[in-house]
Amino acid sequence: MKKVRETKAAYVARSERVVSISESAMNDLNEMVKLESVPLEEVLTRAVTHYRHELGHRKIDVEVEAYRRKHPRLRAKYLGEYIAMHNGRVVDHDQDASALYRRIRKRFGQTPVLMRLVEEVPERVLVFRSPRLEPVK
Amino acid sequence: MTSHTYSHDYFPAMPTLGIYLSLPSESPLVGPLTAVVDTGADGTLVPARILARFRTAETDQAWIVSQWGEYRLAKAYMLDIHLGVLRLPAHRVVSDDRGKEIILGRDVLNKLRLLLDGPGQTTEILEAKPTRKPGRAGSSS
Repeated sequence: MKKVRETKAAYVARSERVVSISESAMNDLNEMVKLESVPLEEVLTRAVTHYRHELGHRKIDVEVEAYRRKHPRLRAKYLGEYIAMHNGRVVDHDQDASALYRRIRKRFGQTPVLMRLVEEVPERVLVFRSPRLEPVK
Repeated sequence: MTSHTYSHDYFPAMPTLGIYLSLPSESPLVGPLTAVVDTGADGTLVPARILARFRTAETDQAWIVSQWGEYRLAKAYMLDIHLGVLRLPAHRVVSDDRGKEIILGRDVLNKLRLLLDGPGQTTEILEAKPTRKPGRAGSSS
């Protein structure tokens, strides 16, 4: 196992902690440093940010599944309102999406929470009908 | 009345509007951005690289389909869209991880009174359409 010293970029509060990672992960990191020509700290920061986005995206996926399952009940109760769904449960609702967003961010911070207008149908497919003329190359 | 010149990056020239984006109820964070006026679009698309700055506003997902039937699942964000002095609050904006254009679809356009002056090559926002609140019409209480 190799040891990596965690640091944040100089322009933000610095925090340090020594963690152990596998040899192969260290090799991957070194390869990315070479490939991108950026410091190890930057590669780690980007990787963590990317991972966090991915986790957030997956959580929204799970909430959408729950929304689909529960849509008949949600429609009966919240039609025309925005609902916020966290861990498969409606945690708040409002006719005003901005007010709902502000309350949810205050209560859950950056944790991803599904916010959606409850309509007659569970989901709508958005159609984009405008093909473009491009010059022939 | 706000006026925007058609974009000549397209042929024929394209009606466009200048927009800013922000988190709900906050000051504009990104802009000015040129957005294509597209009455053939059901929704509003913004390139993923722009939406990367609004990570906390990812609140949903949406299926999108092109003219030719290609389906894709995309991330959706809740953002304020600023058009001149107008603000469309907490609007659903869909992420486009391939394209580079901002497309304003009918979800936005149907909230505006627009004049597309083709010969003059300008798009004018005449005024905002008054918003009707659902379920309030005809209420006697």
